[in-house]
Amino acid sequence: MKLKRTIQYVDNEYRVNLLKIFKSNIPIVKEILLDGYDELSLLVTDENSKANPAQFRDVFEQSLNGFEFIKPRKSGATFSVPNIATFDFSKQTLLQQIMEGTPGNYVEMSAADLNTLSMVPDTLPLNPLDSEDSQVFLKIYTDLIEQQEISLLHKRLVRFPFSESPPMEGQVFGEARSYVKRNMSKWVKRAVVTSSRDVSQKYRRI
Amino acid sequence: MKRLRKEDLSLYRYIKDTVLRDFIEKDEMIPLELISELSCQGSYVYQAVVDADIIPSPVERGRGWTFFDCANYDDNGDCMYSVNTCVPEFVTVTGTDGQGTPCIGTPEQSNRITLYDENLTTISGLEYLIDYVDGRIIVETNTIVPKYIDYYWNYVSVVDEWVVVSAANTPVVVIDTAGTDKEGYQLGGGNKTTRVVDIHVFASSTAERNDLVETIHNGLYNKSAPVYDFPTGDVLDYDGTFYARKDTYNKLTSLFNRTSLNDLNVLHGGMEFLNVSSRHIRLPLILSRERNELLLSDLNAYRSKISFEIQTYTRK
Repeated sequence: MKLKRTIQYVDNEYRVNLLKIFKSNIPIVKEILLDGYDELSLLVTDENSKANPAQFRDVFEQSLNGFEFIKPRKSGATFSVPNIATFDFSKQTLLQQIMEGTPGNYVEMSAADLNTLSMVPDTLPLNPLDSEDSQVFLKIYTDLIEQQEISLLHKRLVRFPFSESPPMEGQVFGEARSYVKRNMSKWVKRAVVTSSRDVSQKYRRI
Repeated sequence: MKRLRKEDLSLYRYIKDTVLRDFIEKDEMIPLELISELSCQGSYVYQAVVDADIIPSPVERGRGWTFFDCANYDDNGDCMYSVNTCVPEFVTVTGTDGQGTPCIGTPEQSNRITLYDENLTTISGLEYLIDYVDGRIIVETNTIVPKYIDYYWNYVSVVDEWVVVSAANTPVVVIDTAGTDKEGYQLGGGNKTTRVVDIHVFASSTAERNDLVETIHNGLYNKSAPVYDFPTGDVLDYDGTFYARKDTYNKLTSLFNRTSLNDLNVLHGGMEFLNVSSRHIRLPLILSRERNELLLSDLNAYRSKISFEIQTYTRK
């Protein structure tokens, strides 16, 4: 009975120490993720684009703050880095589109542009929070649109900056994943050493 | 050629020639047309004229005519593959590759493409060259005038660059090697290389996507493939003809050299596929539309991704 209690105590000490180390690393991981996210904006060269990820940084950070990085287990704990399947994109679906990659050429078109060309959008609005008049949609850049943008719209449409771009998931989440993978054995070792020391000190007192 | 390139190319060949071998179509009695701009005395170029309304086209990027024979045929002359996928499915013979190096390799096909003259008499395979990429026949003399052709072609476009996804109609498969990690063995020299690979599938319907994903997943799960040395480069030359066939009529002296890095004592075994997982990609931005409104060029409608790792062990 005493041995069982001792094992439970050791387990608990280990978990507490591991959780402490994990928690102290969450801000670093978040920072790495935000750095990766900020790099996406470097790919946007047209300042008129409504698809610049910089505009949705707050939404991304908010979803990041809601992400459950640590899950305590019966013995130990799990540290999860968000990926495309586990991250909450419900507040800004454009981000998921960018992370998954976009084959094909798209242009950004307002509701008025679409109306002038008697076309329907290929996508939902880029920012659903925009008012109905200022909503912007993506449309596959066909030869017809190329002909009509000058003749009917009298302007060059903004090219969706992530057209023909491969999945960006690795760029945003990859570095944080590598950071955790690189350090995990070090964290576990540190938790084992700290908890062993705590336990040995406690039993020395007894 | 460095090892990453050899692994990439071996994976490409494995996916296209082995995993997707069921996705091969046959076109029969396709008319051939002389392209006078490309022809001159001693070289007459004929193009297979495929109906432009037929999508996808056999000569789109990543497709092309098939250049290897089947190992086994059934009574109807159709390709028959063994259920046991460990059995090599290629014809392998002893000879030399295009540089004269003795090897065991695969010769250019001899029964996947049949050429006919105007009387529908079969023209011998030795009297012409085939451009498998652009779907052309090159004849040295004007005494032979090919009129029709039967050929097998790859229905699935397999490409290794994301930017060329939209260069072909669906179905398209993109092989993307995303990253590499190397670590040493516990003892001794050599290293273990792990590469992260994503295969993106773009299909034209749910059924087609599901078929492709399941086929590729099964082709990778619990499987491994050889890493070829490619001493003469890929199977085809820069102009789409079988490597070294321009210099010789003898198919046994222009084999595709199947010497692997394991044979050369560079690797322990081949490349092993690990942690294979697949998931469908439903882009939240894309609107669901009626079937008849869906553009064939809309690659985003039926997508899927297969992720896995490739592990290889070097000896030195």
